[in-house]
Amino acid sequence: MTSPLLTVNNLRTSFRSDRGTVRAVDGVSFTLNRGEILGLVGESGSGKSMTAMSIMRLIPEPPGSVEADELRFDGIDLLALSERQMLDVRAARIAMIFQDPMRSLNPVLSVGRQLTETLRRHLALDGAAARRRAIELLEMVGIPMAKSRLGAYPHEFSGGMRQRVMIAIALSCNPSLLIADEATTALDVTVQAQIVDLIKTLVKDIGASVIWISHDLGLVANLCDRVNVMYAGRIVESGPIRDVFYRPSHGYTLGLMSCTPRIDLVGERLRPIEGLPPDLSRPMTLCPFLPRCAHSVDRCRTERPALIEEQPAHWASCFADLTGSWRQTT
Amino acid sequence: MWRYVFRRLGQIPIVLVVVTITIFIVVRSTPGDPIQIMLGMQTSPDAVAAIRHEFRFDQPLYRQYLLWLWDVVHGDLGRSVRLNQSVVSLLTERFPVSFRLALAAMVFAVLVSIPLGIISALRRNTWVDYLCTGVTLIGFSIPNFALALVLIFVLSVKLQLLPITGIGATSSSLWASIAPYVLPSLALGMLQVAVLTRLLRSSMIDVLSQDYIRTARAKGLMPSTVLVVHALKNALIPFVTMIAIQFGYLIGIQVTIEYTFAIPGMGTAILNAVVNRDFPVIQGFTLVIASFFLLTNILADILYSVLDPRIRY
Repeated sequence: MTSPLLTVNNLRTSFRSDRGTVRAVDGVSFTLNRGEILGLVGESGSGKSMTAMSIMRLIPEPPGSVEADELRFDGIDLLALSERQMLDVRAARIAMIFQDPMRSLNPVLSVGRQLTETLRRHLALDGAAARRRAIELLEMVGIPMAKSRLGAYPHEFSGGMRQRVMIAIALSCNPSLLIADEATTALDVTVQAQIVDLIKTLVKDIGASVIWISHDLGLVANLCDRVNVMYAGRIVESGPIRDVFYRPSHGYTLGLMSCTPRIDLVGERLRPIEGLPPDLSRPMTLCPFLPRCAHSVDRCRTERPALIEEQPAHWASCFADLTGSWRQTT
Repeated sequence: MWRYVFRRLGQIPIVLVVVTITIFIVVRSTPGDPIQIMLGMQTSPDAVAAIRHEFRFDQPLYRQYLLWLWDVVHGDLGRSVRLNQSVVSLLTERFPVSFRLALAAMVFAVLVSIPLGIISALRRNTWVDYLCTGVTLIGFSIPNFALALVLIFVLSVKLQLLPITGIGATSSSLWASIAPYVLPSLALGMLQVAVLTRLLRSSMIDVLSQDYIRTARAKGLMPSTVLVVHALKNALIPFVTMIAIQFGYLIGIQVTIEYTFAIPGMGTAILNAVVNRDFPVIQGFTLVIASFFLLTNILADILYSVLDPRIRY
């Protein structure tokens, strides 16, 4: 294999607030290979979106602060770039799709305008060429009568159609990396499947890698090659999809899976994870999941577990032996 | 769209009838008789009665109103009791002066509030923002006649930069005809500066936190494009409608400013008319001010739909 597309080493994103410094991302490290689809899973506030925003350098500084030992994308040190240079990376090299297509498109600008401005900005296309390309892109994402829809405004589209527009914008400059932040969460289930298929096909066509942020485990399991499970600003488990889902090695991953409905366990009650995520402005000396963990062992109360390679390529930061805890019914 | 405009225009007469009936009753139920005030106490009752008859003041109230309304529909607002002049000719003298003053005040307010509003939103909670807040606080709290006196003292008396009076006088140069408007429009527009700056600041802060601004930034657009095309275009929607509404309001509140700067506008005319119980003038001017206010409100609604594609009537 060639060098990875993205290397994130010890990423730390924090926010200064009245209550102290909130460590939204607290030492996250991972790599993303070319052509790979990487899942980033965790509940709200676990730092998934903050990781993505940090890579895009979209965290406002101040009050935010982004530091890393290494943040390298395709040979470029992202943290060394000036804001002006970073403008040329966004959308052109790293593109993003956001959660709520109802609110992620500007309501007072036509869809055509929002598409062409990206093309003009990064590909230096003139008006007519940008228009032609915009029509192609809308057709590519499956919007019927694309030509006549260019002048339409976002409110004239349905949620699924708006997300298709967002995808067209994100992929318009053939980025090498696509970050999809809860891209299908706000959509109907049937539309979700269409959008996932669409993204999957398109990124394959342009050869882009994907970071897929979601709290939907089933979706991640179907779509991704590898998955990172995040909790309280850290990666607590990481590995190939099959390994993580068949042999979860962290109490939190196990908890997440126990509260996901399964078609093969009809009649079984879902077990929600009790309690709330920890306050990220407090320093943590033990495993942040300890107060909510159903599998803790004595050692959990004395020291904090490090992220270690428990199986080949399968990392977890957990002292408990969870072998056999997950009911395998295949 | 046009159906909506016509429907709104169609509502105007109804509102105007209600407004004029109210004014009709109010001016006639306050003590003081216009003819007695004009002629004094020594006049013979016969002369008073003759003039009362001429102005139809001897007729029943509802008849007076209906006759007045009939005349209005035919473009006649009656004659002033006090001045030997028709109300229409008085209006054609006075309305342009007030209109120009309101326009000048509004232009001043818009030119100042747009940069202030944007800067204080972008530099939120810094000393720049607090300075802008201070300026708007002054605008809100100082009565405009007091501000007028300060401006006169500093800019005219001490620095001798601008004339205090001169609106309506024939003047040779362009500057000589514009200069007298400067001080009154500053004094009059200061409140609008405050209103519009606060409005733009809060709508700008709201817009900048929206998801579509994050999308625009994620597209690698120039910060100036994000600010002007993506943020300002949204933030100006409430701002522009507010300008239209405030403009209608400005026409009706110039009395103290006109008095301070000896401006022959609608404010002084209506004040004199009230003092002298000059019923036809009060009625005619009220009608015009109310119509103007209603029209600017309709204009605000139309602008709203022009600026925001989500709003269609």
